[in-house]
Amino acid sequence: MRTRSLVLMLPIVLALSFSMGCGTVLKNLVTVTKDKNPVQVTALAADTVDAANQLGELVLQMQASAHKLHQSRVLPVEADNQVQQAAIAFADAKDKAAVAITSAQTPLQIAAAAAPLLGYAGSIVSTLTPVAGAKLTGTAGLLTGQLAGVISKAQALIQQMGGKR
Amino acid sequence: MNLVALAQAALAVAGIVEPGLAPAITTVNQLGKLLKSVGNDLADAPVDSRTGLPMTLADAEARLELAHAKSDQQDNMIRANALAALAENAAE
Repeated sequence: MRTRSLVLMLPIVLALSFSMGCGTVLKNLVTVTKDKNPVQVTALAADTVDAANQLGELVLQMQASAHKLHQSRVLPVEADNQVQQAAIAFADAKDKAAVAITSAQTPLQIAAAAAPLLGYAGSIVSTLTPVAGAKLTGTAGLLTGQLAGVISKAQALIQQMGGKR
Repeated sequence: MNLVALAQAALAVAGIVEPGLAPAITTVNQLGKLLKSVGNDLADAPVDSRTGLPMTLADAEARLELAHAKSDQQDNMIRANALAALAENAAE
């Protein structure tokens, strides 16, 4: 009974401690608005679009690598097509996100607008990761080595964007 | 009062700390600290990294406009490259 009560109490304790630890941020997230803090919110929007552009650079590199690897018969055509379609979806989503980020009135709205991009870039990363990890020789090996580096950067950026925003 | 420490102590005393539970509490605590620091950053006026001076609204708007222009250009390039690759694959 005592154990059960403690287990039932745990989420409440966690929620309480979490909200106490985040009191400042919760207050700031509610009070920081574009009409009251135009510089902060606009600068955050610019940072977010910049971060999305960094992710876009990596998507460009990943889509180019995927097509070259397909031409070298390392990557099946279906996987290359999948990457290219995901890249188009990413670009379309980034277009929409940039508009939503600009009209956002709060940091939370900025974060919500940018969040879908992580999923599209993530699907490209997961399609290409097994190929990048494969041991190959010659040009294909060099290309997969480079791709592994790009994927690792994309993963770090996705984690950073997802974690901080 | 640190409720996280209290919760950890209570669980340890009760002897019901399951593997993974204590790290979860630590993670929540770290996340709280991280969010707190982000929240403080939001409340402070941003600084222009090039000049070291507080950023003006005009600076922030110029940065946003530049980022937008780059984003549009990049999105068009991603689409064009993808369509070219898809067309090439279809022609095989």
